[in-house]
Amino acid sequence: MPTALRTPGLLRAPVARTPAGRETSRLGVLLRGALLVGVASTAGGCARSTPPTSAAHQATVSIGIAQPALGLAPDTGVAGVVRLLTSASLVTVAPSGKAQPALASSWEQAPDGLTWRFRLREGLTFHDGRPLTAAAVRALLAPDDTVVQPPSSVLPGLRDIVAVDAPSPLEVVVRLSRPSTLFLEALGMVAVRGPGDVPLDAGPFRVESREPARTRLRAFPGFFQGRPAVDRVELRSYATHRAAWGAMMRGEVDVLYEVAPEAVQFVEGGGGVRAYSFERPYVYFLGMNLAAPALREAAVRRALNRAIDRGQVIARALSGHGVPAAGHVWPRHWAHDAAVVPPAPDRAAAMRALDALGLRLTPATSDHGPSRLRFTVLVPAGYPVLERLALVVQKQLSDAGVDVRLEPVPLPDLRNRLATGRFEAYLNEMAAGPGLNWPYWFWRSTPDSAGWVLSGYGAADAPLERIRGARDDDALRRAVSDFQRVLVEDPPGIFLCWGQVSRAVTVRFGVPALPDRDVMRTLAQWRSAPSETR
Amino acid sequence: MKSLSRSVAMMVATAAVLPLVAYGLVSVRTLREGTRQSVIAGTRSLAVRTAAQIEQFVGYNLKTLQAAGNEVRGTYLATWQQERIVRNFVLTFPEFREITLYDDAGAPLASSRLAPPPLGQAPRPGPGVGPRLSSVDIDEDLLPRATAVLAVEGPGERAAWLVGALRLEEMWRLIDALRVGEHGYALLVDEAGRLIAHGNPAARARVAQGEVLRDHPLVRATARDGAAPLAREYVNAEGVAVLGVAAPLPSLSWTLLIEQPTREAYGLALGLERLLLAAIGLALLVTVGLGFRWGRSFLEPITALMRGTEAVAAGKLDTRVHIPREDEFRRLGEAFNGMADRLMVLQEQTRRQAGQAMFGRIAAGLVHDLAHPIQNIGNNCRLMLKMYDEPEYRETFRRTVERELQLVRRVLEDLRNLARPMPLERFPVDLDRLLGEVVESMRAMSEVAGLTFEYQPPDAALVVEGDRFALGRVYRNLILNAMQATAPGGRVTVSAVAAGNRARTVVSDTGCGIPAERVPAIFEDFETTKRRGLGLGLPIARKIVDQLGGAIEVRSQVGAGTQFTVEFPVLERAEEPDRPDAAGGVRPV
Repeated sequence: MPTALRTPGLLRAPVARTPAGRETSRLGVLLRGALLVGVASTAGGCARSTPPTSAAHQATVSIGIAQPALGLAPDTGVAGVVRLLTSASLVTVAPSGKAQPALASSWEQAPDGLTWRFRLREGLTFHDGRPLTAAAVRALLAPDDTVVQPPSSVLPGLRDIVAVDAPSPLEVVVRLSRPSTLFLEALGMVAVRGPGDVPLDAGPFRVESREPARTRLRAFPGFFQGRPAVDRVELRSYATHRAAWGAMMRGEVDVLYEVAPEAVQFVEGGGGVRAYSFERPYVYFLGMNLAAPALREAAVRRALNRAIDRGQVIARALSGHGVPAAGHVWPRHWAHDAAVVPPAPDRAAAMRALDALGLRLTPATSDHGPSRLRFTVLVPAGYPVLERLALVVQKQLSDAGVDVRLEPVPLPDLRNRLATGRFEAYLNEMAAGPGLNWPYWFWRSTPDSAGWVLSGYGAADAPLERIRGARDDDALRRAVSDFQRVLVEDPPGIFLCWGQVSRAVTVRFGVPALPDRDVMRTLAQWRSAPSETR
Repeated sequence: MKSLSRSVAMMVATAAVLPLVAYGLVSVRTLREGTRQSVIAGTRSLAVRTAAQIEQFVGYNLKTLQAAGNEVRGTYLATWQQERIVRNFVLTFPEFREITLYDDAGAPLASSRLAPPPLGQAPRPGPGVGPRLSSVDIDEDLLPRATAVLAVEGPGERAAWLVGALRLEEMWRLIDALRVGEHGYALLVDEAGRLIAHGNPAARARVAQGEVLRDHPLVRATARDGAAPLAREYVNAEGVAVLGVAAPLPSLSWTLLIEQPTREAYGLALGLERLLLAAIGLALLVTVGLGFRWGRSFLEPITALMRGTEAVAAGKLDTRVHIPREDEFRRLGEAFNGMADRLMVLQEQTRRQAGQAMFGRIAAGLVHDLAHPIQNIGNNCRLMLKMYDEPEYRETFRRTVERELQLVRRVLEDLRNLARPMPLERFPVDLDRLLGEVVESMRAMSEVAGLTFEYQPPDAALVVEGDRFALGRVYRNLILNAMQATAPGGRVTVSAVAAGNRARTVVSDTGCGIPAERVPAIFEDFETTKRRGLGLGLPIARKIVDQLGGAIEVRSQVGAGTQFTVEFPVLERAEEPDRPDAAGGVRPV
């Protein structure tokens, strides 16, 4: 469900390793393709919608996407949106973390918690018309040798699959090695794709053509929720946000994919454009390497957390557009414990704590000012928001006598250094929801996930295992609460805040309003006035 | 009447309408000009105030950069200290997205950015000049920004520049907040004429596209005329007539424009103007209406009096006027009615007196006309007593008595004919023959009267339809009147001619003539110029002519004579006109 479409954050494009420890070339495909499903279905109904009118079928939505050259794959942004609009999964995950029917119309779990039986909708097809049957799902999930990089290697919820059967074309039976609360929501992150070299999806739109700066999608009539009201989607990439905005102002595009929250009031206006803002399940996080001597002690990390005023961080770095973060669990998740919050910011208390730990101020030198603690934070280069966050954090920690050096690092280098443990701290944003797979994946210190960020953190293993193995809601709530508490008491870094993002859409489209949801997920339901049809 | 109405209308127009129209025109012009000046003054004040705010905003941030420059140079700071200073400034002053200190080669020394770019082509002012602002553009967050560059150089130090990326959102907000009416927006133009802010969100694309307004009338005028605020009316790029006001920002060489559609800018004035025009129009209508009403009220009694007078003059003495007013007109009407009453009384008296006079005349006429025959009969009867034995006398007596009785019968017949129309027969009558007979029968009388009596027959036969006896009586009457009115030695002429399809007979004399005032009455009963007789000859003649479809007219001049003309339609196909030998001179057709 969470996608890696927006930011360059390494945590949204994790480096995975094969069992042999080699970084696989299929990683991009894995994360940007199979795993990170942009399930364009809404969180609501799964029933086939009413067929739209013929006028609506003629509508074309043009989406302007800025793709700055920051070391990412040239088509990262566009590719992400393509995945969002072309893929479909067995289930979808609501912002609350609850799974809802999608390609699978229903499912049931055996009393032992190990066997899951899914019923597929009738008449499902891939974009090329081939039937989407239980066999295709089995081929996707089965941990056989033919899958070079199965999704299960990354998503914790899929790691426990031991067998997948297709007793009938519409029935899939999955057998787990152990009960897992992460399994069902993980299915919402896996696009059901057909066999072959060319990805074959079953989402609301299919790829019609690809050009360097333009990708055209066409409504897929066989989509399980019915043919989309929008007939065509055109994705246009621009070198800068400004260029994309200019294109929108000229009427060349209908949607500006990303707008800074503070620019919303300037982008909106004249009644021609409406901005849709929502909180993303991504958390700005200053991660720490426990192998770094300065940050090894949990007390030090707690003191550093105490020195951070998250409200000030949001006000100064995000112009007030954000929500303070208390951990890695998406606050809208149904099991989130709002009572678990970090201690109130108190710089004096932080300084006293550091003093108590023997970290007293040392005189300034020609290289740095007076400090009691010094470490370097890696910051992805070229991302003003992260730079500004880094400056604010640096200032606040500096006020507590902590000398933070900020080191801009190109994104590929950053991934490499994090994966190899060659860092003291880093600042980025991490996928966090809406389910619990990502927190588990980040903080469960099992060997197969340790390659993601080699930080040496393992304090949350126990509550995470309880999360995975919880057999009822109460148990899961308690485990989540404990996990949140561990992140506060033995923090792996500083969870700063949840950010916001906005999409700008011309008012000629009627956009279904879903609070705090990305409007791109409802694109299939957009409608345009007949007079505006292009 | 028309003249009087026109006079009243002119009076109303001159006294009320023209002054009102003149007042309206002056008021509208005054209102329009006053409002225009007021609107311009208000908008100009707004523009000047906002321009000052923008200058203050930018100036404040430039001073902030100046302060950062003062801190970062001249004190031999370490790089980390310089870096901390610029980062603190960036965090303290959010209008700065970033601040970087560059060396003289353009390489960054200290920056709020983690990886600052080289200085590049940014303008580099000299030492002591103060911060210089680059052109405004849109940053990656789609927000307006400008780069401020300050030369910083301490004693013994190499030249360096402090460069700050200034966020101009507040400036945009100021422009956005400046809304005049519903459709009046502010625009900000830099020194190159480039649009850098537009208060109309729908027009913000023009900012993003870097539209240049160098040819904008206000921008051109500002560049030409300097720092004074300007106001113009023109048609903008969208084809809308606008009122534009420009307020320069001298310290930045920018110009703030406010454009408001004139329709809206002067909307209030137009509304008042319309109201005023409506009021004036209404006043005009009321004035004209009242003037019409009053004028009509003034003219009504005059009109009534005139109509009454005309009616009375036409003989309708029972006409009265009703003037329901309480002024002199009512008294005038009452006087008119009194006069009409008096006239009726006088008319009745006159009629009574005329009847009495006519009765007297009739009686006298009868006495005259009957006395002589009766006297003759009486005398002859007395002679008969004496001369009864003379057969000759008895024959003479018989003829005399018959003649006198014939005369009496004629008088009585005339009276009878006067009371009821004569029954006439219609036969073709040869007019020449008839006139010849009449003339011959009266020739002896003319000789006795010593007159020259001529008859001029027609060139061709003229046959008319009529009663031979009645026609003979007409002509005989006319000839007799002519002879009686003509003194001895005079001339009486009878002529007959064909006039188109009519037969015209003219009886003229050289007699005394008829006074002009008596001419209209000569055909009336009992009207005569003679001292004797009932005066029934001409009325009877006229009745006969009318009954036969002819016409009779008279021309007379006192002392010269009188001419009667009688015309009858010519009977086209008279195969055999009457002959004198026919029984009674009349032959049925």
